[in-house]
Amino acid sequence: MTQGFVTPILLAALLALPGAGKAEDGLVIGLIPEENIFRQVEKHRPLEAYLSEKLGVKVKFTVLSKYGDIIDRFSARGMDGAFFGIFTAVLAMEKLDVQPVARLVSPSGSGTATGYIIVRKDSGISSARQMRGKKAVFVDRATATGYIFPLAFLREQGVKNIEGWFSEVFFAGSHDSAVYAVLDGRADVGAVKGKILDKLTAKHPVIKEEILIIAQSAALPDTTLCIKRDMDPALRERLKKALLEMHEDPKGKEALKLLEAEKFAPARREDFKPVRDLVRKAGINLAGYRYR
Amino acid sequence: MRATLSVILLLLFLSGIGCAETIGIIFSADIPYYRSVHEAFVLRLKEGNGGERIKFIVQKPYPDPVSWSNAARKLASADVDAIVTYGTAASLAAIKERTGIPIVYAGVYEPVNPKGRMTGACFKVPVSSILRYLGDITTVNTLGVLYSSMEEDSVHQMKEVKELSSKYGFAVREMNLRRPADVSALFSEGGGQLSALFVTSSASVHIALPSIVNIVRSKKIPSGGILVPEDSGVLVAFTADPKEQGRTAADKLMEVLKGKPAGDIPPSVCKNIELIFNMKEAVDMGLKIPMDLVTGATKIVY
Repeated sequence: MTQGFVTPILLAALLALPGAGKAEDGLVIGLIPEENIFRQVEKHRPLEAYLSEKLGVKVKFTVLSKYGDIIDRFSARGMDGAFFGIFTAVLAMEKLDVQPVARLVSPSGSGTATGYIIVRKDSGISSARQMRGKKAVFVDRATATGYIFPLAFLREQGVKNIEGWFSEVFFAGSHDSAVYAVLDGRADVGAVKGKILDKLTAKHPVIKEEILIIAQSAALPDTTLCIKRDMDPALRERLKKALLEMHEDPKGKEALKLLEAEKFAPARREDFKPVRDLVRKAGINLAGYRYR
Repeated sequence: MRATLSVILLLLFLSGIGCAETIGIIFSADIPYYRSVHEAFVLRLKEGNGGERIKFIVQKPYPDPVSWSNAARKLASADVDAIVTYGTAASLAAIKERTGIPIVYAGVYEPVNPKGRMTGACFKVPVSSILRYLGDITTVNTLGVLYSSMEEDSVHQMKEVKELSSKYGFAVREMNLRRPADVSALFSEGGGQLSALFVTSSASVHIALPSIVNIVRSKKIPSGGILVPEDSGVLVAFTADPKEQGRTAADKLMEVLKGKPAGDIPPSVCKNIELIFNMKEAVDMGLKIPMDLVTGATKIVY
Protein backbone atom coordinates (compact mmCIF):
# COMPACT_ATOMS: atom_id res chain seq x y z
CA MET A 1 0.00 0.00 0.00
CA THR A 2 2.88 2.33 -0.67
CA GLN A 3 1.59 3.88 -3.84
CA GLY A 4 1.15 7.57 -3.14
CA PHE A 5 -1.66 8.51 -5.43
CA VAL A 6 -2.63 12.13 -5.17
CA THR A 7 -5.43 11.87 -2.72
CA PRO A 8 -8.85 12.26 -4.22
CA ILE A 9 -10.30 13.02 -0.78
CA LEU A 10 -9.17 16.64 -0.75
CA LEU A 11 -10.22 17.05 -4.36
CA ALA A 12 -13.66 15.67 -3.61
CA ALA A 13 -14.03 18.02 -0.68
CA LEU A 14 -13.24 20.93 -2.96
CA LEU A 15 -15.51 19.67 -5.67
CA ALA A 16 -18.63 18.82 -3.71
CA LEU A 17 -21.17 20.71 -5.71
CA PRO A 18 -22.19 23.90 -3.91
CA GLY A 19 -24.87 23.65 -1.27
CA ALA A 20 -25.04 19.86 -1.19
CA GLY A 21 -26.10 18.29 2.06
CA LYS A 22 -29.56 19.43 3.20
CA ALA A 23 -32.46 17.33 2.02
CA GLU A 24 -35.07 19.98 2.91
CA ASP A 25 -33.50 22.31 0.34
CA GLY A 26 -34.35 19.86 -2.43
CA LEU A 27 -33.01 16.51 -3.53
CA VAL A 28 -29.44 15.52 -2.74
CA ILE A 29 -28.03 12.82 -4.99
CA GLY A 30 -24.64 11.20 -4.46
CA LEU A 31 -22.15 10.23 -7.16
CA ILE A 32 -19.34 7.70 -6.93
CA PRO A 33 -15.85 8.59 -8.21
CA GLU A 34 -15.99 6.10 -11.07
CA GLU A 35 -13.72 8.29 -13.14
CA ASN A 36 -11.69 11.18 -11.82
CA ILE A 37 -13.99 13.36 -9.82
CA PHE A 38 -13.40 16.53 -11.85
CA ARG A 39 -14.80 14.77 -14.88
CA GLN A 40 -17.65 13.34 -12.83
CA VAL A 41 -18.67 16.86 -11.82
CA GLU A 42 -18.55 18.17 -15.37
CA LYS A 43 -20.46 15.20 -16.76
CA HIS A 44 -23.30 15.46 -14.26
CA ARG A 45 -23.90 19.22 -14.15
CA PRO A 46 -26.42 19.23 -17.07
CA LEU A 47 -28.34 16.31 -15.53
CA GLU A 48 -28.51 18.20 -12.26
CA ALA A 49 -29.93 21.25 -14.05
CA TYR A 50 -32.32 19.14 -16.13
CA LEU A 51 -33.82 17.35 -13.14
CA SER A 52 -34.10 20.58 -11.14
CA GLU A 53 -36.11 22.10 -13.97
CA LYS A 54 -38.31 19.05 -14.56
CA LEU A 55 -39.06 18.36 -10.91
CA GLY A 56 -39.43 21.98 -9.82
CA VAL A 57 -37.18 21.32 -6.82
CA LYS A 58 -33.48 22.01 -6.50
CA VAL A 59 -31.52 18.82 -7.27
CA LYS A 60 -27.97 18.82 -5.97
CA PHE A 61 -25.31 16.26 -6.82
CA THR A 62 -22.47 15.55 -4.44
CA VAL A 63 -19.39 13.57 -5.44
CA LEU A 64 -17.91 11.19 -2.91
CA SER A 65 -14.14 10.79 -2.75
CA LYS A 66 -14.22 7.02 -2.33
CA TYR A 67 -16.65 4.32 -3.38
CA GLY A 68 -17.33 3.22 0.18
CA ASP A 69 -18.08 6.80 1.27
CA ILE A 70 -21.40 6.62 -0.51
CA ILE A 71 -22.53 4.06 2.04
CA ASP A 72 -20.90 5.71 5.07
CA ARG A 73 -21.99 9.25 4.29
CA PHE A 74 -25.38 8.63 2.75
CA SER A 75 -27.22 9.68 5.88
CA ALA A 76 -24.66 12.17 7.17
CA ARG A 77 -24.81 14.16 3.96
CA GLY A 78 -28.59 13.99 3.90
CA MET A 79 -28.72 12.16 0.60
CA ASP A 80 -32.09 11.15 -0.84
CA GLY A 81 -30.51 8.84 -3.35
CA ALA A 82 -27.34 8.11 -5.24
CA PHE A 83 -26.02 6.82 -8.52
CA PHE A 84 -24.51 3.70 -7.08
CA GLY A 85 -21.89 1.53 -8.71
CA ILE A 86 -22.47 -2.16 -9.32
CA PHE A 87 -21.29 -3.32 -5.91
CA THR A 88 -22.24 -0.26 -3.87
CA ALA A 89 -25.83 -0.63 -5.12
CA VAL A 90 -26.00 -4.14 -3.64
CA LEU A 91 -24.29 -2.93 -0.49
CA ALA A 92 -26.72 0.01 -0.22
CA MET A 93 -29.73 -2.29 -0.63
CA GLU A 94 -28.29 -4.35 2.24
CA LYS A 95 -27.24 -1.52 4.54
CA LEU A 96 -29.44 1.46 3.61
CA ASP A 97 -33.14 1.56 3.02
CA VAL A 98 -32.95 2.27 -0.72
CA GLN A 99 -34.52 0.83 -3.82
CA PRO A 100 -33.34 0.91 -7.45
CA VAL A 101 -35.19 3.34 -9.74
CA ALA A 102 -33.37 3.74 -13.05
CA ARG A 103 -30.20 2.69 -14.78
CA LEU A 104 -28.16 4.33 -17.52
CA VAL A 105 -28.26 2.57 -20.88
CA SER A 106 -25.25 3.04 -23.19
CA PRO A 107 -25.58 4.02 -26.88
CA SER A 108 -25.02 0.35 -27.72
CA GLY A 109 -28.19 -0.46 -25.80
CA SER A 110 -26.48 -2.09 -22.86
CA GLY A 111 -27.26 -1.29 -19.25
CA THR A 112 -24.55 -3.58 -18.00
CA ALA A 113 -20.80 -3.51 -17.53
CA THR A 114 -18.09 -6.13 -17.37
CA GLY A 115 -14.88 -6.26 -15.40
CA TYR A 116 -11.46 -7.02 -16.88
CA ILE A 117 -8.33 -8.35 -15.28
CA ILE A 118 -5.49 -6.81 -17.24
CA VAL A 119 -1.70 -7.09 -17.57
CA ARG A 120 0.84 -5.61 -19.95
CA LYS A 121 1.35 -7.88 -22.95
CA ASP A 122 5.11 -7.86 -22.35
CA SER A 123 4.69 -8.94 -18.71
CA GLY A 124 4.70 -12.65 -19.49
CA ILE A 125 1.65 -13.10 -17.27
CA SER A 126 -1.29 -15.02 -18.67
CA SER A 127 -2.73 -16.89 -15.69
CA ALA A 128 -3.55 -16.50 -12.02
CA ARG A 129 -0.59 -18.74 -11.17
CA GLN A 130 1.81 -16.36 -12.92
CA MET A 131 0.46 -13.44 -10.89
CA ARG A 132 2.01 -14.82 -7.71
CA GLY A 133 4.53 -12.40 -6.17
CA LYS A 134 3.55 -9.61 -8.57
CA LYS A 135 2.24 -6.14 -7.79
CA ALA A 136 -1.49 -5.62 -8.23
CA VAL A 137 -3.60 -2.50 -8.58
CA PHE A 138 -7.30 -2.51 -7.81
CA VAL A 139 -9.74 0.37 -7.84
CA ASP A 140 -11.41 0.28 -4.45
CA ARG A 141 -12.63 -2.41 -2.04
CA ALA A 142 -16.18 -1.26 -2.79
CA THR A 143 -16.12 -1.85 -6.56
CA ALA A 144 -17.40 -4.96 -8.31
CA THR A 145 -15.25 -4.81 -11.44
CA GLY A 146 -12.27 -3.18 -9.71
CA TYR A 147 -12.00 -5.58 -6.75
CA ILE A 148 -14.80 -8.09 -6.14
CA PHE A 149 -14.44 -9.67 -9.59
CA PRO A 150 -10.67 -10.36 -9.31
CA LEU A 151 -11.29 -11.64 -5.79
CA ALA A 152 -13.88 -14.11 -7.14
CA PHE A 153 -11.71 -15.02 -10.13
CA LEU A 154 -8.65 -15.78 -8.00
CA ARG A 155 -10.77 -17.68 -5.47
CA GLU A 156 -12.03 -19.88 -8.28
CA GLN A 157 -8.39 -20.49 -9.21
CA GLY A 158 -7.68 -21.64 -5.67
CA VAL A 159 -6.27 -18.37 -4.29
CA LYS A 160 -7.91 -17.74 -0.93
CA ASN A 161 -5.70 -14.91 0.34
CA ILE A 162 -5.35 -12.26 -2.33
CA GLU A 163 -3.05 -10.05 -0.23
CA GLY A 164 -0.64 -12.94 0.28
CA TRP A 165 -0.74 -13.96 -3.37
CA PHE A 166 0.63 -10.64 -4.58
CA SER A 167 3.85 -8.99 -3.38
CA GLU A 168 1.95 -5.74 -3.06
CA VAL A 169 -1.64 -4.61 -3.53
CA PHE A 170 -2.68 -0.98 -3.83
CA PHE A 171 -5.88 0.87 -4.68
CA ALA A 172 -5.84 3.50 -7.42
CA GLY A 173 -9.17 5.11 -6.47
CA SER A 174 -10.51 5.21 -10.01
CA HIS A 175 -10.62 2.87 -13.00
CA ASP A 176 -8.62 5.12 -15.33
CA SER A 177 -5.85 5.50 -12.75
CA ALA A 178 -5.73 1.70 -12.42
CA VAL A 179 -5.36 1.31 -16.20
CA TYR A 180 -2.54 3.87 -16.26
CA ALA A 181 -0.76 2.12 -13.37
CA VAL A 182 -0.62 -1.12 -15.40
CA LEU A 183 0.34 0.65 -18.63
CA ASP A 184 3.15 2.52 -16.86
CA GLY A 185 4.51 -0.63 -15.25
CA ARG A 186 3.70 0.66 -11.76
CA ALA A 187 1.60 -2.48 -11.31
CA ASP A 188 1.83 -5.88 -13.00
CA VAL A 189 -1.84 -6.82 -12.73
CA GLY A 190 -4.94 -4.65 -12.61
CA ALA A 191 -8.70 -4.97 -12.41
CA VAL A 192 -10.85 -2.37 -14.11
CA LYS A 193 -14.27 -1.73 -15.58
CA GLY A 194 -14.24 -2.75 -19.24
CA LYS A 195 -15.92 0.37 -20.57
CA ILE A 196 -13.29 2.63 -19.01
CA LEU A 197 -10.50 0.64 -20.65
CA ASP A 198 -12.44 0.71 -23.93
CA LYS A 199 -12.78 4.49 -23.67
CA LEU A 200 -9.07 4.97 -23.07
CA THR A 201 -8.30 2.59 -25.95
CA ALA A 202 -10.56 4.60 -28.26
CA LYS A 203 -8.57 7.71 -27.34
CA HIS A 204 -5.16 5.98 -27.59
CA PRO A 205 -5.43 2.93 -29.88
CA VAL A 206 -1.83 1.96 -28.98
CA ILE A 207 -3.14 0.82 -25.60
CA LYS A 208 -4.79 -2.14 -27.33
CA GLU A 209 -1.36 -3.38 -28.38
CA GLU A 210 0.01 -3.04 -24.86
CA ILE A 211 -2.74 -4.52 -22.71
CA LEU A 212 -3.79 -8.16 -22.43
CA ILE A 213 -7.17 -9.01 -20.93
CA ILE A 214 -6.74 -12.18 -18.91
CA ALA A 215 -10.28 -12.55 -17.62
CA GLN A 216 -13.67 -10.95 -18.12
CA SER A 217 -16.58 -10.94 -15.71
CA ALA A 218 -20.21 -11.68 -16.49
CA ALA A 219 -22.40 -8.72 -17.47
CA LEU A 220 -23.34 -6.77 -14.35
CA PRO A 221 -25.97 -4.02 -13.95
CA ASP A 222 -24.15 -0.72 -14.34
CA THR A 223 -24.60 2.63 -12.61
CA THR A 224 -28.04 2.69 -11.02
CA LEU A 225 -29.96 5.42 -9.27
CA CYS A 226 -31.31 4.13 -5.97
CA ILE A 227 -33.64 6.24 -3.88
CA LYS A 228 -34.60 6.16 -0.20
CA ARG A 229 -37.67 4.09 0.32
CA ASP A 230 -39.27 6.79 2.49
CA MET A 231 -39.08 9.49 -0.21
CA ASP A 232 -42.41 11.17 -0.94
CA PRO A 233 -44.03 8.68 -3.40
CA ALA A 234 -45.28 11.47 -5.68
CA LEU A 235 -41.81 12.99 -5.95
CA ARG A 236 -40.28 9.57 -6.54
CA GLU A 237 -42.69 8.92 -9.41
CA ARG A 238 -41.95 12.34 -10.95
CA LEU A 239 -38.23 11.69 -10.67
CA LYS A 240 -38.57 8.26 -12.27
CA LYS A 241 -40.73 9.65 -15.07
CA ALA A 242 -38.28 12.52 -15.73
CA LEU A 243 -35.41 10.08 -16.03
CA LEU A 244 -37.18 7.50 -18.16
CA GLU A 245 -38.46 10.13 -20.58
CA MET A 246 -35.44 12.41 -20.77
CA HIS A 247 -34.12 10.86 -24.01
CA GLU A 248 -37.23 12.24 -25.73
CA ASP A 249 -36.40 15.81 -24.67
CA PRO A 250 -33.63 17.74 -26.55
CA LYS A 251 -32.20 19.12 -23.28
CA GLY A 252 -32.38 15.66 -21.75
CA LYS A 253 -30.62 14.20 -24.77
CA GLU A 254 -27.78 16.68 -24.34
CA ALA A 255 -27.40 15.75 -20.69
CA LEU A 256 -27.43 12.04 -21.57
CA LYS A 257 -24.81 12.59 -24.27
CA LEU A 258 -22.39 13.95 -21.68
CA LEU A 259 -23.02 10.86 -19.59
CA GLU A 260 -22.26 8.78 -22.70
CA ALA A 261 -25.72 7.24 -22.39
CA GLU A 262 -28.66 6.70 -24.70
CA LYS A 263 -31.33 6.82 -22.04
CA PHE A 264 -32.41 5.64 -18.61
CA ALA A 265 -34.15 2.29 -18.20
CA PRO A 266 -36.16 1.02 -15.24
CA ALA A 267 -34.11 -0.82 -12.62
CA ARG A 268 -35.28 -3.61 -10.35
CA ARG A 269 -33.82 -5.35 -7.32
CA GLU A 270 -33.77 -8.69 -9.22
CA ASP A 271 -31.37 -7.23 -11.80
CA PHE A 272 -28.62 -7.52 -9.21
CA LYS A 273 -28.65 -11.32 -8.93
CA PRO A 274 -25.38 -11.65 -10.97
CA VAL A 275 -23.72 -9.23 -8.54
CA ARG A 276 -24.89 -11.19 -5.52
CA ASP A 277 -23.58 -14.37 -7.20
CA LEU A 278 -20.21 -12.69 -7.75
CA VAL A 279 -20.11 -11.53 -4.14
CA ARG A 280 -20.78 -15.08 -3.01
CA LYS A 281 -18.01 -16.45 -5.27
CA ALA A 282 -15.64 -13.88 -3.77
CA GLY A 283 -16.44 -15.30 -0.33
CA ILE A 284 -17.88 -12.02 0.91
CA ASN A 285 -20.53 -11.70 3.57
CA LEU A 286 -22.19 -8.36 2.80
CA ALA A 287 -23.36 -7.73 6.34
CA GLY A 288 -19.85 -7.79 7.77
CA TYR A 289 -17.85 -6.71 4.73
CA ARG A 290 -15.15 -4.12 5.47
CA TYR A 291 -15.20 -2.07 2.33
CA ARG A 292 -13.07 0.87 3.56
CA MET B 1 59.41 -25.93 14.60
CA ARG B 2 56.00 -26.27 16.31
CA ALA B 3 56.41 -22.81 17.88
CA THR B 4 57.21 -21.25 14.51
CA LEU B 5 54.15 -22.86 12.94
CA SER B 6 51.97 -21.55 15.77
CA VAL B 7 53.26 -18.01 15.27
CA ILE B 8 52.57 -18.20 11.52
CA LEU B 9 49.03 -19.48 12.12
CA LEU B 10 48.40 -16.76 14.72
CA LEU B 11 49.59 -14.08 12.30
CA LEU B 12 47.35 -15.45 9.57
CA PHE B 13 44.41 -15.47 11.98
CA LEU B 14 45.05 -11.90 13.13
CA SER B 15 45.41 -10.63 9.56
CA GLY B 16 42.06 -12.25 8.77
CA ILE B 17 40.27 -10.42 11.58
CA GLY B 18 41.05 -6.98 10.19
CA CYS B 19 40.43 -8.00 6.55
CA ALA B 20 38.29 -5.41 4.73
CA GLU B 21 36.58 -6.00 1.43
CA THR B 22 37.17 -3.40 -1.23
CA ILE B 23 34.30 -2.45 -3.49
CA GLY B 24 34.82 -0.40 -6.59
CA ILE B 25 31.97 1.87 -7.60
CA ILE B 26 31.44 3.47 -11.02
CA PHE B 27 28.86 6.17 -11.65
CA SER B 28 27.77 6.46 -15.30
CA ALA B 29 27.75 10.17 -14.50
CA ASP B 30 27.78 12.33 -11.42
CA ILE B 31 24.07 13.12 -11.46
CA PRO B 32 21.57 13.45 -8.59
CA TYR B 33 19.84 10.15 -9.40
CA TYR B 34 22.98 8.02 -9.05
CA ARG B 35 24.03 9.96 -5.96
CA SER B 36 20.69 9.01 -4.35
CA VAL B 37 21.15 5.38 -5.40
CA HIS B 38 24.64 5.39 -3.86
CA GLU B 39 23.44 6.89 -0.57
CA ALA B 40 20.78 4.20 -0.22
CA PHE B 41 23.30 1.53 -1.21
CA VAL B 42 25.84 2.55 1.45
CA LEU B 43 23.14 2.92 4.10
CA ARG B 44 21.81 -0.56 3.41
CA LEU B 45 25.27 -2.09 3.62
CA LYS B 46 25.71 -0.47 7.04
CA GLU B 47 22.33 -1.78 8.16
CA GLY B 48 23.41 -5.22 7.02
CA ASN B 49 26.58 -4.90 9.15
CA GLY B 50 28.69 -5.03 6.02
CA GLY B 51 29.39 -1.33 5.69
CA GLU B 52 31.84 -1.06 8.57
CA ARG B 53 34.35 -3.47 7.07
CA ILE B 54 33.95 -2.38 3.46
CA LYS B 55 36.28 0.04 1.76
CA PHE B 56 34.92 1.92 -1.25
CA ILE B 57 36.82 3.20 -4.26
CA VAL B 58 34.40 5.52 -6.04
CA GLN B 59 34.83 6.52 -9.69
CA LYS B 60 32.71 9.29 -11.21
CA PRO B 61 34.03 9.48 -14.77
CA TYR B 62 33.09 12.04 -17.40
CA PRO B 63 30.30 10.38 -19.43
CA ASP B 64 32.13 8.92 -22.42
CA PRO B 65 33.21 5.37 -23.33
CA VAL B 66 36.93 5.97 -22.75
CA SER B 67 36.37 7.36 -19.27
CA TRP B 68 33.98 4.55 -18.33
CA SER B 69 36.54 1.96 -19.50
CA ASN B 70 39.36 3.70 -17.67
CA ALA B 71 37.31 3.70 -14.48
CA ALA B 72 36.67 -0.02 -14.81
CA ARG B 73 40.36 -0.72 -15.52
CA LYS B 74 41.45 1.28 -12.47
CA LEU B 75 39.17 -0.80 -10.28
CA ALA B 76 40.44 -4.02 -11.84
CA SER B 77 44.04 -3.04 -11.18
CA ALA B 78 43.09 -2.11 -7.61
CA ASP B 79 42.00 -5.76 -7.31
CA VAL B 80 38.60 -4.89 -5.84
CA ASP B 81 36.39 -7.72 -4.58
CA ALA B 82 33.37 -6.52 -6.55
CA ILE B 83 32.41 -3.70 -8.86
CA VAL B 84 29.14 -1.85 -8.32
CA THR B 85 27.90 0.21 -11.25
CA TYR B 86 25.19 2.86 -11.44
CA GLY B 87 23.55 3.13 -14.85
CA THR B 88 23.75 1.07 -18.03
CA ALA B 89 26.83 2.81 -19.50
CA ALA B 90 29.09 2.06 -16.53
CA SER B 91 27.71 -1.47 -16.26
CA LEU B 92 28.48 -2.31 -19.88
CA ALA B 93 31.97 -0.75 -19.58
CA ALA B 94 32.67 -2.96 -16.56
CA ILE B 95 31.55 -6.07 -18.47
CA LYS B 96 33.77 -5.25 -21.44
CA GLU B 97 36.88 -5.24 -19.25
CA ARG B 98 36.45 -9.01 -18.72
CA THR B 99 38.18 -8.88 -15.36
CA GLY B 100 36.35 -11.79 -13.77
CA ILE B 101 35.39 -9.51 -10.88
CA PRO B 102 31.69 -9.88 -9.95
CA ILE B 103 29.55 -6.93 -10.96
CA VAL B 104 26.43 -5.63 -9.20
CA TYR B 105 24.49 -2.89 -10.93
CA ALA B 106 21.72 -0.44 -10.07
CA GLY B 107 19.69 2.15 -11.95
CA VAL B 108 19.88 0.15 -15.17
CA TYR B 109 17.17 0.29 -17.83
CA GLU B 110 16.10 -3.35 -18.36
CA PRO B 111 18.14 -6.27 -16.98
CA VAL B 112 21.75 -6.74 -18.05
CA ASN B 113 22.81 -10.30 -17.51
CA PRO B 114 25.92 -11.65 -19.19
CA LYS B 115 26.17 -15.21 -17.93
CA GLY B 116 27.94 -15.82 -14.69
CA ARG B 117 29.22 -12.42 -13.67
CA MET B 118 26.47 -9.99 -13.08
CA THR B 119 23.37 -9.23 -11.07
CA GLY B 120 21.64 -6.12 -9.85
CA ALA B 121 18.63 -3.86 -9.74
CA CYS B 122 17.02 -2.52 -12.87
CA PHE B 123 13.80 -0.85 -13.94
CA LYS B 124 11.57 -0.68 -16.97
CA VAL B 125 9.38 2.25 -17.89
CA PRO B 126 7.18 1.89 -20.95
CA VAL B 127 8.27 4.63 -23.32
CA SER B 128 4.75 4.63 -24.75
CA SER B 129 3.37 5.91 -21.43
CA ILE B 130 5.47 9.09 -21.63
CA LEU B 131 4.38 9.61 -25.24
CA ARG B 132 0.75 9.15 -24.24
CA TYR B 133 1.02 11.63 -21.35
CA LEU B 134 2.77 14.19 -23.56
CA GLY B 135 0.06 13.70 -26.19
CA ASP B 136 -2.61 14.32 -23.56
CA ILE B 137 -0.94 17.58 -22.53
CA THR B 138 -0.09 19.04 -25.93
CA THR B 139 -0.40 18.39 -29.65
CA VAL B 140 2.78 16.61 -30.68
CA ASN B 141 3.78 17.06 -34.31
CA THR B 142 7.56 16.84 -34.00
CA LEU B 143 9.10 15.15 -30.99
CA GLY B 144 12.76 15.75 -30.24
CA VAL B 145 14.45 12.74 -28.65
CA LEU B 146 17.54 13.57 -26.64
CA TYR B 147 19.81 10.54 -26.42
CA SER B 148 23.44 9.55 -26.68
CA SER B 149 24.65 7.13 -29.34
CA MET B 150 27.36 6.08 -26.84
CA GLU B 151 24.79 4.73 -24.40
CA GLU B 152 22.87 1.62 -25.34
CA ASP B 153 19.89 2.21 -23.08
CA SER B 154 19.22 5.63 -24.51
CA VAL B 155 19.64 4.33 -28.09
CA HIS B 156 17.14 1.61 -27.24
CA GLN B 157 14.66 4.18 -25.87
CA MET B 158 15.12 6.38 -28.95
CA LYS B 159 14.36 3.39 -31.20
CA GLU B 160 11.25 2.61 -29.16
CA VAL B 161 10.04 6.19 -29.65
CA LYS B 162 10.65 5.92 -33.39
CA GLU B 163 8.73 2.65 -33.61
CA LEU B 164 5.80 4.20 -31.78
CA SER B 165 5.86 7.53 -33.65
CA SER B 166 3.73 6.35 -36.57
CA LYS B 167 1.09 4.99 -34.18
CA TYR B 168 0.97 8.28 -32.29
CA GLY B 169 1.20 10.30 -35.51
CA PHE B 170 4.25 12.50 -34.95
CA ALA B 171 7.66 12.96 -36.55
CA VAL B 172 10.84 12.25 -34.57
CA ARG B 173 13.91 14.45 -34.54
CA GLU B 174 16.87 12.43 -33.28
CA MET B 175 19.04 14.62 -31.05
CA ASN B 176 22.27 12.74 -30.41
CA LEU B 177 24.12 14.45 -27.57
CA ARG B 178 27.69 13.19 -27.64
CA ARG B 179 29.03 15.83 -25.25
CA PRO B 180 26.97 17.72 -22.64
CA ALA B 181 28.57 20.96 -23.88
CA ASP B 182 26.93 20.49 -27.29
CA VAL B 183 23.38 20.89 -26.05
CA SER B 184 22.75 24.45 -27.29
CA ALA B 185 24.05 23.63 -30.75
CA LEU B 186 21.84 20.56 -30.88
CA PHE B 187 18.71 22.64 -30.32
CA SER B 188 19.78 25.07 -33.05
CA GLU B 189 20.15 22.29 -35.62
CA GLY B 190 17.33 20.82 -37.62
CA GLY B 191 15.25 23.95 -37.99
CA GLY B 192 11.58 24.22 -37.12
CA GLN B 193 10.01 24.20 -33.70
CA LEU B 194 9.82 21.03 -31.66
CA SER B 195 6.37 20.48 -30.24
CA ALA B 196 7.68 18.29 -27.40
CA LEU B 197 10.90 16.78 -26.10
CA PHE B 198 11.66 13.29 -24.83
CA VAL B 199 14.62 13.00 -22.46
CA THR B 200 16.05 9.47 -22.41
CA SER B 201 17.91 8.06 -19.41
CA SER B 202 21.31 8.86 -20.99
CA ALA B 203 23.94 9.97 -18.47
CA SER B 204 25.34 12.54 -20.94
CA VAL B 205 21.90 14.02 -21.41
CA HIS B 206 21.26 14.15 -17.67
CA ILE B 207 24.54 15.96 -17.02
CA ALA B 208 23.25 18.66 -19.36
CA LEU B 209 19.74 18.68 -17.91
CA PRO B 210 19.87 22.19 -16.34
CA SER B 211 20.85 23.67 -19.74
CA ILE B 212 18.22 21.57 -21.51
CA VAL B 213 15.50 22.77 -19.13
CA ASN B 214 16.53 26.40 -19.64
CA ILE B 215 16.18 25.95 -23.40
CA VAL B 216 12.80 24.20 -23.31
CA ARG B 217 11.51 26.81 -20.86
CA SER B 218 12.53 29.66 -23.14
CA LYS B 219 11.06 27.92 -26.19
CA LYS B 220 8.00 26.68 -24.26
CA ILE B 221 8.55 23.07 -25.32
CA PRO B 222 6.77 20.52 -23.09
CA SER B 223 9.10 17.73 -22.02
CA GLY B 224 8.92 14.22 -20.66
CA GLY B 225 11.76 12.13 -19.35
CA ILE B 226 13.08 9.02 -17.68
CA LEU B 227 14.96 9.15 -14.36
CA VAL B 228 14.90 12.93 -14.22
CA PRO B 229 14.68 14.42 -10.72
CA GLU B 230 11.28 15.72 -9.63
CA ASP B 231 12.54 19.31 -9.37
CA SER B 232 14.37 19.24 -12.71
CA GLY B 233 11.77 21.25 -14.59
CA VAL B 234 10.76 18.38 -16.86
CA LEU B 235 6.96 18.33 -17.21
CA VAL B 236 6.27 14.59 -17.04
CA ALA B 237 8.79 12.30 -15.43
CA PHE B 238 9.07 8.62 -14.73
CA THR B 239 11.68 7.68 -12.22
CA ALA B 240 12.53 4.41 -10.52
CA ASP B 241 12.81 4.86 -6.75
CA PRO B 242 16.59 5.36 -6.24
CA LYS B 243 16.36 4.07 -2.67
CA GLU B 244 14.88 0.79 -3.85
CA GLN B 245 17.59 0.51 -6.51
CA GLY B 246 20.38 1.18 -4.00
CA ARG B 247 18.99 -1.12 -1.32
CA THR B 248 18.40 -3.97 -3.77
CA ALA B 249 21.93 -3.67 -5.16
CA ALA B 250 23.35 -3.70 -1.62
CA ASP B 251 21.41 -6.86 -0.76
CA LYS B 252 22.78 -8.57 -3.85
CA LEU B 253 26.32 -7.41 -3.11
CA MET B 254 26.10 -8.87 0.40
CA GLU B 255 25.17 -12.22 -1.13
CA VAL B 256 28.12 -11.96 -3.51
CA LEU B 257 30.49 -11.15 -0.65
CA LYS B 258 29.25 -14.24 1.17
CA GLY B 259 30.51 -16.27 -1.77
CA LYS B 260 27.49 -16.69 -4.03
CA PRO B 261 28.35 -16.27 -7.72
CA ALA B 262 26.75 -13.08 -9.08
CA GLY B 263 25.36 -15.02 -12.03
CA ASP B 264 23.39 -17.23 -9.64
CA ILE B 265 21.55 -14.24 -8.18
CA PRO B 266 18.65 -13.21 -10.40
CA PRO B 267 18.45 -9.51 -11.21
CA SER B 268 15.48 -7.64 -9.76
CA VAL B 269 13.18 -5.45 -11.78
CA CYS B 270 12.18 -2.81 -9.26
CA LYS B 271 8.55 -1.78 -9.29
CA ASN B 272 8.50 1.45 -7.32
CA ILE B 273 8.07 3.76 -10.27
CA GLU B 274 7.19 7.39 -9.61
CA LEU B 275 5.04 9.30 -12.07
CA ILE B 276 5.67 12.99 -11.50
CA PHE B 277 3.85 15.93 -13.07
CA ASN B 278 5.34 19.38 -12.78
CA MET B 279 2.24 21.58 -12.61
CA LYS B 280 4.32 24.72 -12.04
CA GLU B 281 6.16 24.29 -15.34
CA ALA B 282 2.89 23.46 -17.09
CA VAL B 283 1.24 26.65 -15.81
CA ASP B 284 4.30 28.71 -16.77
CA MET B 285 4.05 27.30 -20.30
CA GLY B 286 0.34 27.99 -20.46
CA LEU B 287 -0.48 24.29 -20.57
CA LYS B 288 -3.16 22.39 -18.72
CA ILE B 289 -2.46 18.90 -17.41
CA PRO B 290 -5.75 16.96 -17.58
CA MET B 291 -7.06 16.10 -14.15
CA ASP B 292 -7.44 12.40 -14.92
CA LEU B 293 -3.68 12.30 -15.39
CA VAL B 294 -3.02 14.28 -12.25
CA THR B 295 -5.08 11.94 -10.08
CA GLY B 296 -2.93 9.02 -11.24
CA ALA B 297 0.35 10.77 -10.42
CA THR B 298 2.45 9.65 -7.50
CA LYS B 299 3.92 13.14 -7.11
CA ILE B 300 2.89 16.61 -8.18
CA VAL B 301 5.31 19.52 -8.23
CA TYR B 302 3.51 22.82 -7.61
